[in-house]
Amino acid sequence: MIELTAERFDVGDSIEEFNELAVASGWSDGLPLVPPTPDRVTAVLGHAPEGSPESLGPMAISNGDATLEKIAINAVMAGVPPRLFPVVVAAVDAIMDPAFNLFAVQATTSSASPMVVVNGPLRRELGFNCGAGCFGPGWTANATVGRALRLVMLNIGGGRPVALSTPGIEGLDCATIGFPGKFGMCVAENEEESPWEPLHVERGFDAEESTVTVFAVDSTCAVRDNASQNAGEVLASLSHAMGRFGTANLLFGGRPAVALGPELAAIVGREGWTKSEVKEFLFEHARLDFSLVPPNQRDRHLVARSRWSEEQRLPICDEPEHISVLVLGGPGPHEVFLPTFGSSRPITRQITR
Amino acid sequence: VTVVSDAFMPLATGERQALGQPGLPLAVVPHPVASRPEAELVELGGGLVTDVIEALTGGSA
Repeated sequence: MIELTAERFDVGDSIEEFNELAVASGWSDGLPLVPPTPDRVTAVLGHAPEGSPESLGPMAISNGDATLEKIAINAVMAGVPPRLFPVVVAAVDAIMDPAFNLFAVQATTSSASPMVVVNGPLRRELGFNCGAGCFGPGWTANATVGRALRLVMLNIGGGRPVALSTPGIEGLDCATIGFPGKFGMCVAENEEESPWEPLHVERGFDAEESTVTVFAVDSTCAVRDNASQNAGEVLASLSHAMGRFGTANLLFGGRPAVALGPELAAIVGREGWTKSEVKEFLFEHARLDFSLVPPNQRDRHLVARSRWSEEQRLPICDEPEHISVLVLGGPGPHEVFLPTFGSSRPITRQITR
Repeated sequence: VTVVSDAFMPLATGERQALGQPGLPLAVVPHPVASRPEAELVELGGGLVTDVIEALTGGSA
């Protein structure tokens, strides 16, 4: 058993008193927090993955020590049921991979924040919603795991909003506008209704393993498609939504993602399209037409995209395989483009218990 | 010397603290930077020269 070492505060029994302290101390995301009493923290730590190190290391931006105890405290505050703690630990480990570029994701003026995608058998066992309305609200697993990861970033990584800076506790999240995903963003993939291999299998894991994959998403761009009757039409409507002026991926490349609802995925899948062919299509069609960009701005669109020129139509990223294709949600003719922070890669970690 | 626009001073001071370099010199320019025309950027840069030299030489500019 891990010995609790965090500083203790005596705030009485009321949840209001604790939350007043949390807001004053800069621990809050603005919503009420569950008081992290020693009993609650111990219960969560009882579900820590076997053989976990006591710390996952220093977390950007502030280099706070991401100990299991501190992660558990934030999980309790987020309302995470103890059985879900291994998912939180896997997600924290994933965002700390250098290729995720957490420093930049936390500090940027853009709205980037981790989207956690859960794959494998534990999705169902732990109660994650991968079907209708999977981005919320209403599902404890989705809502609390996403929120816990954000609280970890705020309280261990120092990613509090810059506007909440106080003397000695600088806010280091410089997001100009932000987006609601910064309260937490966790979904599971609808593997059962996908015509393709699940995300984690594509990324090298066995179907029977369970994983989290994190993406530095900066928005969800909804695409409604009541009209398309075949694969080419479905993917054309999606690619129109991707190759639009101002999308971060067009400026910086990176690893954008798309998520098709099962109905639209089925239209594409029944014609035999593989996931790689879907990516090829999106890569060829989700492009910025330079004739739409004022001539004096065109070179700015190529600063970070040196592989391309004004004579070409600028693709959403540098390689078709850099696009992730997910299947999420329930009935209805919907899909979503998930633009990502340019200098960040999706990272997958196995969930171990 | 790190150049920072004044709107991002909390990030700069927080990060130098996190790196264990609380005295790391900062040269500060008014925000914004990215949207200024080139002539203004040159002027901004010129205004930094004294600060940068002082930071690098310990104040002997």
